[in-house]
Amino acid sequence: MTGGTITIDGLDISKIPRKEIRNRLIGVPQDSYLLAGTVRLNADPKQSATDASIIDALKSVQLWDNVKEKGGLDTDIEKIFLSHGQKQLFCLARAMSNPSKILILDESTSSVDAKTDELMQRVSNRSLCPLS
Amino acid sequence: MLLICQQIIREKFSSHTIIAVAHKLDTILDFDKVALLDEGRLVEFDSPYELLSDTSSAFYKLYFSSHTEEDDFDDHITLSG
Repeated sequence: MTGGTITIDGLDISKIPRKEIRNRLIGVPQDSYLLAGTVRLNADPKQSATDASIIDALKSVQLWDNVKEKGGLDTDIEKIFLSHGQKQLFCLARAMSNPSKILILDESTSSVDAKTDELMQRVSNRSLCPLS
Repeated sequence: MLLICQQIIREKFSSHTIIAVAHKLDTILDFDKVALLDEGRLVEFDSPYELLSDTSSAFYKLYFSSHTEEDDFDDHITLSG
């Protein structure tokens, strides 16, 4: 396949400004990234959500107690010491603060190393994980 | 992605359209459609159930080959652990 169009609600996205599209999509990559700054900035980079909704999002990924203990939303993200798995959860909380309705999940190629890594994460996060 | 992430995605994003680039195929079995790509080309597009019902489908082969690999991998971990 060398050509084609991607349409969302009937609109060809190649005809929509890139910035607008990026605003309307929520991307969650496998390799979670965090910005230098506060928990609030990281949970809501667009600075459009209320504190209450950020806290709700952090509660639903079971990170709020951890954040609260270390000083709340104004705490520097580096002081929270998130594990690899917790960073993934944090990025989901960030996605929840975004009003967009299209969620794009990107799972990186599963090399043996990535599998080992995930297995380790699963073990270390077992207490967090009601499904395991 | 962690299992708890999978659970949260289903609970908190239930009214969203979700597009997942997936390699662990268990995580997409409850999705509406699967677009299977091979070297950049679309080879299959159907519901996971339909594709798994057809033993000649590429998705069927991929799903069961990835399971075999994972089993081998788990055995390896058990032995080395």
